[in-house]
Amino acid sequence: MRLLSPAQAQKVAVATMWTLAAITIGILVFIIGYILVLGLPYVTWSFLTEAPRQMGRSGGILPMIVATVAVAGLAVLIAGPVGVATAVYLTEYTREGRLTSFIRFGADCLAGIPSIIFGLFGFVFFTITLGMGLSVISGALTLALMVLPTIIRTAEVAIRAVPYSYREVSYGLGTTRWQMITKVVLPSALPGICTGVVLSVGRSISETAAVMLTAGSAPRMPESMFDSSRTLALHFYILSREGISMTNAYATASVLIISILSLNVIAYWIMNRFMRRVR
Amino acid sequence: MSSEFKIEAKALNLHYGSFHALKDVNLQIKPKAITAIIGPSGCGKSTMLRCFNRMNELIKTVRVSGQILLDGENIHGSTVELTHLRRRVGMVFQRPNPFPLSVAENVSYGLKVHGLTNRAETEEIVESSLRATNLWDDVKDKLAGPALALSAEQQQRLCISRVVAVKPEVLLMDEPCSALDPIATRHIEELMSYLAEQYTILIVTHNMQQAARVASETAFMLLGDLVEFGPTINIFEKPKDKRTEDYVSGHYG
Repeated sequence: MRLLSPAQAQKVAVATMWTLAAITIGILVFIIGYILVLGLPYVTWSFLTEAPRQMGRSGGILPMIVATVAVAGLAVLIAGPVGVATAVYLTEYTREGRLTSFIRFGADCLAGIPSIIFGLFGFVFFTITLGMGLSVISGALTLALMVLPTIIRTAEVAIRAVPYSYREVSYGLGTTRWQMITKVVLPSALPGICTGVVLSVGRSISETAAVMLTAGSAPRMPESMFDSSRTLALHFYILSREGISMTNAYATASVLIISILSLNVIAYWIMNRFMRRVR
Repeated sequence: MSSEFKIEAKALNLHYGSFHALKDVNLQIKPKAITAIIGPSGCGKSTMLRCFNRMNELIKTVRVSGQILLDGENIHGSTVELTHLRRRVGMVFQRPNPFPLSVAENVSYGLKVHGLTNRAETEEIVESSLRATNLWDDVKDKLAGPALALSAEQQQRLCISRVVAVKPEVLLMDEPCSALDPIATRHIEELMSYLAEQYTILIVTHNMQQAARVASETAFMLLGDLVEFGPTINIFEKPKDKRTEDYVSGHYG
């Protein structure tokens, strides 16, 4: 005897899926809403455009915004080309073999390592051994290593998804492999590559442990790549951890959340526009 | 060096790993005519076609021996540039496969890659290539629109335009109508006959009527052997080989 008829099972399944999805979205909305409700009232123009005073008890977060943009932006500028080039190599220039599985295995291992380990490595290698000190560039290089696996794997998936027929046509028209890659494969894979890059920007912006060990935590405006700085996520951590100002901590968190959300929305919008042109 | 044939295959053998896909094939293709290669699936007809622009070399396990002469010159010769060969010998594939670009960008792709930057000249070639396939009137108002929005037949015409734009001498067509409906098929066949005034065309087809309709010469292949080759009418009406007779009369297998 069946417990449920297929039609009943279908209903139960739909109800279950719906409930679970609703719970997931509910939790997400609750967390974001909670932070925004507590923080947004304190996000004023002067908060965004002033330097912090009294270790962040009052004043604004402008240096942290600059530091975040610098560290995360630089990290992705470094990791993006390296990651995409690796993905192109893996998909277009080698045959499956020991080397490719080793590179892929390595990338997967890197992706699974806790960020604090990257921080420790960056601290020992970039900050001390290479003498870069606690600086924007040390932080950016460390974050670049951290997001590299994400960029490689998303770019690889996107490049593999480009139909083989495009490559055949391109070869058939007498193009070289390199022309085929730059004119056909990469443009077609661009939306997927962008997804990986946006994910990486998000991860870089929200990273705390690794930047604390490499970019430092000085709440001042970085004037060059070799200055130490404090990113938004780290500022939030310090404000709340050391009980300096919970209101400013929530306000900082609100700025962080809003920038990540808008980053995703903008990326989505750009990709949509791009896709509309070709589809 | 000139020759009465555009393409000649001499004692052509091809192996995929240990699989012997083409066995001692000899074939002579007349210029500015349509030659069809027919045969059941897996007989080696597509492999044969892909020898002429060395497309099989994309597969690592392939070994080719024997000669293919294009205008009397060995295409495997050390002085032959692969990119140049493939410009001279263009290919149209089974499924319409435009790039996800605009209509005009699809046609100008080969030109751009080969270094043409003059805009007026590019536009001119785009137009003449689209006219050559009778697509111009359908798409002249949507040149900037996406190629993938066109119908299957229009897409296949576009793919032919894309090849024609780089000014090839030979067109290889690998079952170019198998993804199209009968009316579109008829239109593409008419186009082939028209293009044969200028180009040497080789078509692979599993559709025997198609070969009978468009080709002046037909080759019948079976299990990697070129069984019979001659004027289309002879292949269909008085085949010399029993195997050809069985196949064209539908008794194969």
